[in-house]
Amino acid sequence: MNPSPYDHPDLTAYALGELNNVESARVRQLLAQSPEARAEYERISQTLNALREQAPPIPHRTLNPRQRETILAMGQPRASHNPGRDNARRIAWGVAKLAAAASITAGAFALGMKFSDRLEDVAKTSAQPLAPRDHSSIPEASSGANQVVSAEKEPAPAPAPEVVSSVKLVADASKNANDLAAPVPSPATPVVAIGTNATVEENKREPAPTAAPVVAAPKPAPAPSLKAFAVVKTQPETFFVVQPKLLRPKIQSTEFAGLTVAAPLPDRVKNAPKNPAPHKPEQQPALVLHSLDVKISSCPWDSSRRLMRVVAQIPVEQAAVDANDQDYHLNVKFDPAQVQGYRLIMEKHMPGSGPSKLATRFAWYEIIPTKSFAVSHDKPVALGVMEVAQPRGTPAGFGGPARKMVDRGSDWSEMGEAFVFETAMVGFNLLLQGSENVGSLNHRLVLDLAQQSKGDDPNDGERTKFIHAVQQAQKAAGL
Amino acid sequence: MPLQQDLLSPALLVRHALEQYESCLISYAASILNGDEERARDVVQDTLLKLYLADPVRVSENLKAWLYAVCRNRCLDVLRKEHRLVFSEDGLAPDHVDDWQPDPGEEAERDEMLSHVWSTTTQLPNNQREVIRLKFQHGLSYKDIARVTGLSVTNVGFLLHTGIKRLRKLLRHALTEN
Repeated sequence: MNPSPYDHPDLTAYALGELNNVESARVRQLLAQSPEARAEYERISQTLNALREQAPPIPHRTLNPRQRETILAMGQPRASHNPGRDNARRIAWGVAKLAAAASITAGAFALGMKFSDRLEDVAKTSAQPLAPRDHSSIPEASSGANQVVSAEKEPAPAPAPEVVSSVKLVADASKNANDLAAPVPSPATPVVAIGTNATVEENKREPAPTAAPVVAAPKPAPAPSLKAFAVVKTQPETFFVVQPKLLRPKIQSTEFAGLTVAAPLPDRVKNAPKNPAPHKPEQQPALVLHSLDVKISSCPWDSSRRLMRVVAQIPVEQAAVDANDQDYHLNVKFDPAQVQGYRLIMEKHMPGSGPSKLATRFAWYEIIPTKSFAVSHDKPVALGVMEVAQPRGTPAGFGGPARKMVDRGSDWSEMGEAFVFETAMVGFNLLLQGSENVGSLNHRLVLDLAQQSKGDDPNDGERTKFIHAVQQAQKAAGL
Repeated sequence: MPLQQDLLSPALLVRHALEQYESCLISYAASILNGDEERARDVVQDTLLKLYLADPVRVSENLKAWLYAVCRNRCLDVLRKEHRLVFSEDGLAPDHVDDWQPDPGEEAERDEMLSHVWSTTTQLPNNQREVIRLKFQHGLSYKDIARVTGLSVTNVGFLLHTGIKRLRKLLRHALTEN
């Protein structure tokens, strides 16, 4: 419903001097023509004046002296050193780096030779056209729809074997959706399984280092490469799968007098007929979303890219989840004018828990914008649209219009703690998978991101565990 | 307003932020954290430490909005952790006020009515109260508020307008009741 011209936000904005010249002229014209608008403007102005004049002053508060010291100490330059000693140290460090680089390169070459047969197989497989896939067998960390296309033919890299990792990043299903950032394992299933095998794989995966030291600060790539990204010009649409069976609350057993007692069966199981009639295919029910949140920021490992997090909250108590096993697609359509390439880099189903009975589906995309892409807080840009592909027979317009994926030009450092910590998890996931084209991503950057967004997680907290896991992987990789 | 070129080192930027916005940020954080000033100080400390990690050129384009945005996100993180975050209180707004029609003759008592304007803001939904506070107490523009809250400028304008109207209605209603 459009607001009446006499009750329009522009009147308030005009009174506050927030309109541009054209808009101000329009409001002035309205005020000149309409006594009702003038009366309304007068009422608004009175309230605004009262708010201005009576605004309570901000009480003078300061940080504690220790907090101030901590903040200011961070900016202190380090004590000056003896330049001669610094030079000697620099030379020694350079020699050590060269020696390390030579030995690791030799190791990588040997491993590359060993896995060359396997690489050929991988190359053959990836050259085949993509066939429809059975989503039920797709591991969480890979996409159901992320049909990665090698867009640019780049010279074959040094034999760095691409090993598909078996290590998965799993968030605890019992946690609140907003706490996904904590990579929480259940006692039986560790979150990041970094053991002996993972260590060996990590060694293989780590690219042969150059003489440059590992740096934490992101460096913009000189020219955007679309390698390992899907190209929007040829493939603007993609999707990720919502699997109802992964959204249902887990049935938990309880202990009573030392005996494990099964929890009551859910109604849909209890009420199922014992001798069901021959199965007649029923129409798949429409899927209702509680909310669909899209957040986009710059990418910490390549400032020319954007990172997009999609969070779909789905009520568990609906036919589409409770009594249906067929998958749904969440279609994502990128705008070729704004996006050159994309890839799905992490995803997760979190079953519903707690009184809200909302399950959550997460997806993270890494996006390479076009050359003409220009975003700022003042000029947000829609990177495309997203909507649930509802089953046939669903009334048109069900669930509202497609949701725009609006990029407001945020930098990752402005984002919330959970977002930044999840970014660290996403980065670690890419490292574990040995993904290509990851800019300046390395263990150090993952650690920096995780440590600065750790918050007040206790020493034995899940975020701390994640940081330890990354540190172990870093050590194992010899970095 | 963009800062001077000589402030574009992280240390100077942080010092400048500390001098200019320390008090405002603690106050803003405390307002989100239900008046918990100690926690608000922790949040502001985190915010200023984050400033060292940010790109000084980019941040200095609008330091104030950047600080408020990071501070707000950090506060929401804290509330979320303590499960104290209420996503929307729009439904808690007093319904009887929406249906109530004021008597035009009461305009004479306008001054008395408006003298309670700030205390009445506590009855507004969270999102309206926040934009009013950011506009009138902290002096942020629509664009800055949009950047801080993650809303569009149009949404900010709508929230402010709706908040102002509701505020007036609440004031009139309170005056009539008394």
